[in-house]
Amino acid sequence: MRVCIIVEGCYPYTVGGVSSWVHGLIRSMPEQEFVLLAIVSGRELRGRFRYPLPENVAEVREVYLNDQEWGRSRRPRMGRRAFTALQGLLCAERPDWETLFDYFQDARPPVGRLLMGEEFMRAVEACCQGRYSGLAFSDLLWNMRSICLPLFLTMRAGLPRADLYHCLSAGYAGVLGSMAKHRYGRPLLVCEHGLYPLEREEELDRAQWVREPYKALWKRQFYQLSRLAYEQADLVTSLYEGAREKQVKLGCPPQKTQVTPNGIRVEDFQSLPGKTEEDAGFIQLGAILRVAPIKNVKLLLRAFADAKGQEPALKLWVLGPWEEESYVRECFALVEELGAADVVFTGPVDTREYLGRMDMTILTSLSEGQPLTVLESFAAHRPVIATDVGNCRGLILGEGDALGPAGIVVPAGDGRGISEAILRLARHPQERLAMGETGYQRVSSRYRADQMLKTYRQIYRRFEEQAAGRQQERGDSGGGSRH
Amino acid sequence: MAGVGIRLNRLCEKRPAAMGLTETGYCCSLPAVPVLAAGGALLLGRLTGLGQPALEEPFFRILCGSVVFALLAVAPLSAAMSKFLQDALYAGRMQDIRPAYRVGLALLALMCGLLGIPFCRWASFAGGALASCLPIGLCCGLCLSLALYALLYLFSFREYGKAALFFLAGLLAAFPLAPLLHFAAGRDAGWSILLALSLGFALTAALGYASVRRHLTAGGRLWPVARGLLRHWPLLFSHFFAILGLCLPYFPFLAAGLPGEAGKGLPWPACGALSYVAMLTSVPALLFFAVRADGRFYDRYRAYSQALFDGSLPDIRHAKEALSRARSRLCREMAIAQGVLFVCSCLLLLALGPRLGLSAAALWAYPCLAAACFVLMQAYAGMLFLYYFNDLSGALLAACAFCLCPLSGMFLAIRLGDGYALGLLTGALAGWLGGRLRLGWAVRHMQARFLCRGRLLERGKGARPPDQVFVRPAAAILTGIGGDHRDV
Repeated sequence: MRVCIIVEGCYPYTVGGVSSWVHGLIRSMPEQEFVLLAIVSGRELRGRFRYPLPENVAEVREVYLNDQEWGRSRRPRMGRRAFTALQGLLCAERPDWETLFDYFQDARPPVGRLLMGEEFMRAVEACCQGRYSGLAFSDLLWNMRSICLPLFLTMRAGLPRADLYHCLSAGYAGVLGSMAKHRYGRPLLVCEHGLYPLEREEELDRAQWVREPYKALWKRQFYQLSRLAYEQADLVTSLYEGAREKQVKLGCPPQKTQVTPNGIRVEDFQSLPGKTEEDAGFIQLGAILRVAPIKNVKLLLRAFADAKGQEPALKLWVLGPWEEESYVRECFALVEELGAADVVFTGPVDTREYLGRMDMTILTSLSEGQPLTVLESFAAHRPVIATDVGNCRGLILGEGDALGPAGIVVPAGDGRGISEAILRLARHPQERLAMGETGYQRVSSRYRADQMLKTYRQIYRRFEEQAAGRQQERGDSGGGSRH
Repeated sequence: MAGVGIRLNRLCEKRPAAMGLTETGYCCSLPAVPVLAAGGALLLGRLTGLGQPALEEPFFRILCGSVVFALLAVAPLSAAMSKFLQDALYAGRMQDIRPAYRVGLALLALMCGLLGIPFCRWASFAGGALASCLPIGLCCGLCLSLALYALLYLFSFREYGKAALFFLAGLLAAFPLAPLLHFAAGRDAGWSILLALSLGFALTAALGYASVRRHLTAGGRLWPVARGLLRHWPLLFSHFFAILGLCLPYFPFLAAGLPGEAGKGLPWPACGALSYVAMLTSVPALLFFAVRADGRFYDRYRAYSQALFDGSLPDIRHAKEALSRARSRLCREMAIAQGVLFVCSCLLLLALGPRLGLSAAALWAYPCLAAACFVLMQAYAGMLFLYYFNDLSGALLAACAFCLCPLSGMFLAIRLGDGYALGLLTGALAGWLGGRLRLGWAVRHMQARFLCRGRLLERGKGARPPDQVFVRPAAAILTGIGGDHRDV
C-alpha cells in the first residue's frame, strides 16, 4: 500500500517528538511504501532533512506556507459558486470546501494576485457587514489576506496519489488530506499528537505580531480547518482519552475517534551507561526538550536555581536542540543572572547516552501531547517531574492502573511547585527509585512501540481491505473512479 | 508550527491616495497656456505699437503652431513626471530628482525631435511667409517647452507663486524687446514678436531652472529613475492624447492655408478666430474647476483616502458618498459656469458679429464650436478625475476616446462637406461619453484601486522549482537502495 504521510513543520526537517514518531513508524513498516507531503514555512527549508530517509520513502513533496509568485499566468475569473464558497470560508459559515478544492486544484490561481484582487476584497466586504463593521476595513482586509495566504497556498499545492492519506495533525495537513480524499476518493486518517487549534490558540495568545481583534480571526480559522479534517476523516486517533474528548468537543464525530497511545522501544533504554566520575556527588536532573518558549525553559531555570540554593548537589542537564537563537541567548543570560551553577546545555544529543546518568527528568512545557521523553525516562527507570499539560498527569499518575505515581505533577507555570518537587525527589532517593520502577512497569505494560505499531498495522490493514473491497465492487459493477 | 507567523507589516504599503492633486492642478493649467500666449501676443502687438502688422495671418498661424508644438512636446512628461516627482518627494528620495530632471530633458528632446518633423513639414507645405517664419517659430516652440518643463518642477515643489511670477516675468520681458527688435533691428513685426516671446520663455525657463536647482541633490542613478518614470507609461500616452484633444480647436488656425473651407461659407481663418474665442470662453471654467477641485473636492477626497486606510466599512461608504456628491457638484458648477459663459458669448457674438464683419455662416457655426469646446472641457475634467482616482489605464482609454473621436468626427464632417464645427461637436460628445462611462467604472471600483494595489508575494526568478524534492526509483524501493534529491 502507498501511504501518503502529511506532516506540518516537523519530519524530516526538525528533530522532536512527532518527527521521531513518524521516523519510527516508517522504519517499522518496511512492507508499506510511503510518500511524504511536508508542509514547511518557506523555500529556505527546501530539502534540508534532519533525518536520513528510510528506504521505503519513495517521494518527498513540499508545500510552502509562504512562497513566491512564479510565472506570469493570469488569474482566472472566479465563478459565482467559487465566490460564494470563498465568502463562506471568510465568514466561517460552513464553507463549501469541495468547491474551493476544485477551484484551487483545477484553476491553480496565482495566490498573491487572488488575494490582492477585487473579488477577495468584495468577499471580505461581505463578511464585514455584520460582525466586523467596527474594525478598520483596510486592517481587516490585510489580516484576512495574511490568514488566507498559507491556506490558499496549501489548497493550490500538487497532491501525490496514494492509497491512504495519513495526516499527523489537523490544520493545513488536514486540509491537504481532505482535499486528497475529495480528489482521489482515498481514505483519510488523522492522527493528532497535539490538538491543533488549541496549540495554535496558545501560540496566538502569546503572539506579538497580531493585534487582539484579529487574533480571534486567526483562531476561528484554525478551528475551521480542524473541523474540516474531523468531518472528512475516516478515522481520527488521539494519544489519550482526554484528547479524544476534546476532539469530540471540537466537532469530531465520536464514532470516528480512537485512542492509540504512543509507544517506545523499551529495550533500547536498558543497560544505559550509568554515572561517570564527573557525576559523582551530584543529584542529576535531566530536561529532555527543545530549547523553545513552548517548553518554558526559563521557568525551569528559575525553579532549578531556587532548588539549587537549598540543595547544592543538584545539577541540571538541558538535553536538546536550540531552536530559537534569541530564546537560547535569553536562557543563557538568565542562568548568569540567577548565578545558578551546574547548568549544562548540551545541544542535540542521543538521549540514551545521558539518561542513565540522570537521577530524574523534568518537563516544564506549557503545552504537550503525550511526551515521548516521559516514556523514555520511564523506560530508563527514571521518575519524571512534569507540568500538568497534555497527558503528563495520566502518564505519571496512571490511567486505570494501580501502579501508583511515577513522578510528580505540578500545575503549569508553578515555579515554586517545581522547585519543591525537585527538592522532594532529590532528598528522598528511595521514593525516587520506587517511582522510577513504577514508570518502567507502566511503560512496559501500555506504551510499547510494538503495541503501537500493531495498532497502526491493524488500522492500515483495515483501510487496505476497505480499498480492496471497494475496488472489487467497482470491478463487479464496471464503474470507474471519480477522477 | 509553520502556519502562524506570516507578518503583516511587510505586506501593507500605506500611502495617501490624495497624491495626484498637484499633477492634476498642473495638467489643468496647461490648456490655458495657448490662450494666454495668443492673448499675450495680441496684447503685445497692441501695446507695443506694432499694431496691425502683428495680426497678420501667418504670424498667428506660426504662433499657434509653436504653442501646440510645445504643449504636445511637454504633454507626455507633464503628468508622468509630476507623478514620479510626487512619489519621490513623498518617499524622501531627493537623490532621484536630479536624474529625473535629466531623464525628463532627454524625453523632452526626443519629443521635440519627433514633433519637429511634422511641424516643419506643415510650415514648409504651407509655404510663403509661414515657411520664412519657421525657424523662429520652432525656436519659440522649443523655448516654451523648456519653460513649461521648468514650471512643471515648480508645481511639483508646490511653488505655484514662483511659477506664475516667472511666467509673467517672461511675458513682461518680451514687451520691450518686441518693439526694440522691430524698430532698432528693422525686422518685421511678426518675427520680432516671436523672437521676443522666445526670449521671454527662455527667461522663464532659466528662472525656473535656477529655482529648482537647489532641489537637485546629487547621488541618484539615471537608469533606475528612468525605469521608475517609465512605469507610469499610461500617463505618458494619456496626457499626450488629452492635450492633443484639447488642441483640436486650434487646428483651424493651422489649416488656414489649406484649400477649401471649414463649413459652408465659413473660411478657415474665420473658423480659427471663432475657435479661439470659444476656447477663451471655456478656459475660465477650467480654471474655476481647478480652483474648486483644490477646495471642497480635495477635502472630500482626502477624507475618503483617509477612511480607506483607517476607517471602518461604513466610514468608507459615507466618505465615498460624500466624494461622489462633491464630484457631481463640481461638474455641475463647472457646467453652469461654462454654460453662462457660452450663452453670453453666443449672445454677444450674435449682437456684435455683423458689426465686426462676421458672415451669417460664421455666426451659425459659433454656437456649435463653443458647444464642442464646452464638451471637450467637460471631458477633460472627467479625465482629470480619472487621474485623481489613479485609474491610469482608464485615463489612457478615455484620452484616446477624447482625442480620436473629435478628430475623426472633424475629418468625417470635412470629407462629407458638412460643417467642421458640427463634426467636432459630435466627436467631442462621443469622446465625452466614452470618458464618462470609464469614470463611472472607476468610481465603482475606486476602493479596489486603492486597497488592491501592490504585490503580496515576491516574484520568483525563473521557472517554479518542482515541489518534489526527493524521489526514489521504484526499483530502489524494492532493493532498499538509492534515491535522488532534486534541485536541493
